[in-house]
Amino acid sequence: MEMSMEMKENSTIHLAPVVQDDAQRGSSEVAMRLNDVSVAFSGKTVVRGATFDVRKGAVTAMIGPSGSGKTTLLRALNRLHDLTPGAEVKGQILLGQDDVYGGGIPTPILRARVGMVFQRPNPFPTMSIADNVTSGLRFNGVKDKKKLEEAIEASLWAAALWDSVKDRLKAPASTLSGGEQQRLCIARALAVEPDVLLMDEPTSSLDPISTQRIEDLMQDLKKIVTIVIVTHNMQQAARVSDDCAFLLMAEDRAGELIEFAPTAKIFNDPQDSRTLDYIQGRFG
Amino acid sequence: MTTMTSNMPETDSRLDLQQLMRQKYRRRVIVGNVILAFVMAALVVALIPLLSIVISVIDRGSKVLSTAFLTQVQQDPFAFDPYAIGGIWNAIVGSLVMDGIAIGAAIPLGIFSGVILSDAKGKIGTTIHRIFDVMIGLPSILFGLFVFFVLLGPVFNNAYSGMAGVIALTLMSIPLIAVATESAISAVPPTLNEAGLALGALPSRVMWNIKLPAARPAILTGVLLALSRAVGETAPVLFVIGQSREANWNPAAEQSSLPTLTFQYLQGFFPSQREAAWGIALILMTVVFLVNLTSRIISARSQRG
Repeated sequence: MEMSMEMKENSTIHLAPVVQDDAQRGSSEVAMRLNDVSVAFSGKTVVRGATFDVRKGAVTAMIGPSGSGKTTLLRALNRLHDLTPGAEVKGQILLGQDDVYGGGIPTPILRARVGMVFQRPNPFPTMSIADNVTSGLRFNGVKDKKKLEEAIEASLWAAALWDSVKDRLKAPASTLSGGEQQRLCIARALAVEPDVLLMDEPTSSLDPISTQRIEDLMQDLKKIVTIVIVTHNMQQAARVSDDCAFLLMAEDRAGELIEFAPTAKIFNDPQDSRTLDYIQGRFG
Repeated sequence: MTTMTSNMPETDSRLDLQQLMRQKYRRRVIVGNVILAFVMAALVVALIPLLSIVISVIDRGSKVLSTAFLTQVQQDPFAFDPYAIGGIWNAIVGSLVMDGIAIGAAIPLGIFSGVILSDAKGKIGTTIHRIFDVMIGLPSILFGLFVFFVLLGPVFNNAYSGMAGVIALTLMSIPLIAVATESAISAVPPTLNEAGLALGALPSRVMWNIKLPAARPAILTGVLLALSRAVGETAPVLFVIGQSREANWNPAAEQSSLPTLTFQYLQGFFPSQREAAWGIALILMTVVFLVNLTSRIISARSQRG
């Protein structure tokens, strides 16, 4: 620990990626607010004490080594832990003014407003490309043909997929490449026009070029949707995010929020020595 | 790259070990070949009776097959004309009617049971699952006994009826289809379930629009297996459908079926009847083969995506 403090003072060359400080990133409006959020499975705490604001129109990254509870915390935001028997979420999560766990909003409505993209592309295999895009709208009772048609083009366009699939919208989603499938999943999530888009290591199963395309895409997407991304890749967090939450596993193996700050500050001037150790690649 | 210089000496122990391994090698090859020979011999022993069944059914069955055999109804031979057995059209019609209705009824009942099973957590779900597992393993004659003793009197006024056979076959098929459905749904990747729910879909919607379509090829395979079992079953229908010599498209009338006619002919007095049993066996074998082939094609096609 002492060593690292020393390093911090002496270091003039950062091993971590350099992030341009840009005051214009995101707005000061809050899209989601986490207040002392903890998640436990069958009484065993997996992540605790997460308190931070997700700014509207910004990309918020959750970083940290394996087991730090990033994904667990992300899945608390759209109540996906409801599927796991014995899972318990404590603390408060606000979506706008609505209390996510306080009965402020029915869970399916919450999930339509807080979309999700998963680690591996998971388009619905029995549906066409177009049907995948409109599935969320149809599940939520939208039947108007014209509205569905519009959503196909708008969402595929927003996911930078329209040009490559516009001539084969009726083809099965499984005919797309891995990177295209993941962008289809982004289009599917965007079609219901969510306020927030959760991305759980969205490029971890993709090749570098597909990864690059999705990272580029995120910069356009944040104009229309607030993004929360989990990534184990620090460079990716530095490239795509505006705010950064650093989590680390404590001695009792529960993940803790160590530091939350604008990404430029996390990477250029972290307040906690453990954050510095991590971004300099000393562990994880 | 610089050349690696080995600093490992050619010690005696190393040479001894390599010599030993070389000696053992021949022994290992011989042992391996002996084991292989035993396995092949066991395979031949298992295949010979199976192949001889298939060959004798094809050989003796094809001698009986004719257009008349397939299109005429059953006749009783008598001493002056011991070859007047007619055909098996009445049994073909009976099998088509009864198996068709039974599977038609078992498909929705079995699939819905399977859907509920796949959702049911805890003790009740496990208990129902166990009951279905036991029902699949029950000797099929028990379904016949149940319908004969419990239903034939109160429901059918003690009259033989194809519908009684339909009930026995349906009861037998439901657990097969239910368990196939349950395991097909459980095999759908959980990430598809999450993807559906994360879009705001209700669980029932995810089941109907995502899980069931993804499970459909495997469910269809289960249905076809249940069908091929129902087609060949004798015991569940033997006591309850009677022995119709007419071709009855009415399922409520007294009926005949391919397996029960086989049973009847095997007990027949005339050699011509016992030969006719081979003909029916050939037809049953062909039907079961075709149904199995279809389910193979379906599952192969679904794996190609």
